[in-house]
Amino acid sequence: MRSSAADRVRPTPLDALVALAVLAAAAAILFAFRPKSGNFLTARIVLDNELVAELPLSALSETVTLDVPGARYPITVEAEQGRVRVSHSECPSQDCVHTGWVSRSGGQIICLPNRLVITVTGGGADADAVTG
Amino acid sequence: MRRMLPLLCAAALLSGCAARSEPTIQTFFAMDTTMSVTAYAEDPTDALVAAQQAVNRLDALWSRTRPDSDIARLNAAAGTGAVAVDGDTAALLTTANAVAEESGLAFNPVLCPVMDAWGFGSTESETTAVHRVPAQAELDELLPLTRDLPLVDGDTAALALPGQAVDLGGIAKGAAARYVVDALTQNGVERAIIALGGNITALGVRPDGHPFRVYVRDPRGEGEDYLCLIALPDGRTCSTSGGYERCFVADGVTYHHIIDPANGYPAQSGLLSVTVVADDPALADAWSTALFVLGPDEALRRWKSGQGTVAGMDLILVTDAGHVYVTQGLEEGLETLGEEAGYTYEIVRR
Amino acid sequence: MTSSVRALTRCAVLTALALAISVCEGLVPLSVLLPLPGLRLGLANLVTVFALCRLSPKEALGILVARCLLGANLGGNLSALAFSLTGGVLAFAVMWLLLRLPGLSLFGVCVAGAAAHNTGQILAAMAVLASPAIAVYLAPLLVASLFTGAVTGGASILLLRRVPWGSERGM
Repeated sequence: MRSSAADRVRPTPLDALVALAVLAAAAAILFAFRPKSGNFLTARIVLDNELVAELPLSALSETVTLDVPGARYPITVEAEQGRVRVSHSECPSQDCVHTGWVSRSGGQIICLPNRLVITVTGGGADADAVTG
Repeated sequence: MRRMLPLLCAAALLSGCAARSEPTIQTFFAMDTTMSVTAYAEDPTDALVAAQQAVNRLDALWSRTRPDSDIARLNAAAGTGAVAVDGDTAALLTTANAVAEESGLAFNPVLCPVMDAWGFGSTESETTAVHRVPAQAELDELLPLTRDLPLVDGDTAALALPGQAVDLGGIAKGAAARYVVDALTQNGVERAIIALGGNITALGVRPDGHPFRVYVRDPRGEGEDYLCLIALPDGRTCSTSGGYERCFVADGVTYHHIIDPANGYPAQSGLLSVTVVADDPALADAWSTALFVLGPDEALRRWKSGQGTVAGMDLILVTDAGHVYVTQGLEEGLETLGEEAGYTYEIVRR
Repeated sequence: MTSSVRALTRCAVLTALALAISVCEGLVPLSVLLPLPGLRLGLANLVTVFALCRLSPKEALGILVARCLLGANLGGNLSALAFSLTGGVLAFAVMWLLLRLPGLSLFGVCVAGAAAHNTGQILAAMAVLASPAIAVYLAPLLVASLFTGAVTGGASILLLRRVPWGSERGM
């Protein structure tokens, strides 16, 4: 099999097109695998050592309200895209409500009277834990 | 083929990250606080159960409020004689005493009577606790009970005076981390981040090969306000003490829960929070409280002296003027986040 | 010699040559210069190009597969074989297609071949290790294939001009 390509000595414009296509593919891969902050962020709600719900924060398109079933003091969790908070709690300390929105991976909301913990994980994983 | 070997090697390294990047998180309540163990392993279920059981066992030994715990029995027998305790309890009391002595009682395991007077007892009562400012006469009566450390002899312990009481809340959570690490490693977990109520211990490194990273909370902020991000190398523990954690307001004055054993009042040492990073989790826990009481000058003096326990640790000291001292060992991997909130940062060297 | 014996000998010599080239190349890995797994000049691809141009696609494919199998015997393992075979066959297919297109030179063919080889490698690695994250490595490898492809392209132009082998002129 003889091909015209085998007889050429110099690069042709089409060669440049091939090179461009390869570059474009490389760029596309970089784009597809770019670090996505806040992506796949998940809020895990644990009540008294039991996982009661897992909210896919990144995938939420509208606000989700959840009255945590079985809580000693009625407590309402509100989640929207990329963040979660305790919007209402009848617990005496109100620490959980005062914590406000949590949107970073590693963040936590704790309601000690209810023995409830909301942990945000995934995403860019800024940090693995919080001290203080 | 030889040319594939580098790819294979790199791919094998990568596979560690890809295949096991999803950690298993165990969250539970013990020692009056929330604890979570995040393990990176194929199937860490057994390890996590073992870890939680280890903590529950220690809680049963060291709790002040469970009537049959070692500490409750020790407190009940105060002034009457020695009680037999578990070897782990004796070891922890010895460690607590050592920190108390080295810190000049800034860390004080027998501060209980004074803490109770303020209503800063165990957290269980926190939700229903009545905080109040005790009268000076009351404090004068209680402070003498906080000067004699528990006597530990083999597997027995004793409190010299009636009315004395031990509370290991300032060291027990840190101490428990060692047992959690043992439970995890014995069950094949090599990578985990262990958070026992604000005491964070790193076992191994992240699956991507970098050290675990920990946010340090902004003592003046709330929710997601962070002071900085630090790298926590394999085997190190960071522990933070701050007056913001528990406090109450009476007559327009805010009283926080870290009581200075010298006068029985909330410590006014010029610090908002202290973060200690150390190899021994129990010492990290206890010294974060001790250094909060001792204040920034004394904390830095001890660190710079190169002598004593504090010299072997790394510190983050946040003064009430918004100045943040970070010792040199934490410089690598440090990310400051509080400039906008008005904090200034200084790396301290020796 | 009958033509079939001649063809067989030709293929055997080219296979041995390709094997020797790839072993030599393994001794001086490019990844020393640039820490990229799987990065190499791909000079063994010259033989595939040469066989594609001067012999038949069937023979070129046979040489390629033989080289990969023998190479794995020489010092690799099963997953290494999967990597090189996937990369090699993909490169072969792309180059075979592009050689039938008018208007391309061997530069373009070899660049596309190198890119296809890297893609095949990474695809195999992703499959073997069940880890899509490895695809991240493909982007820099593709950029590198522009250079390695140009080098092998230039070399194969020289080769085809200087070695009048395998065509109607005979051995």
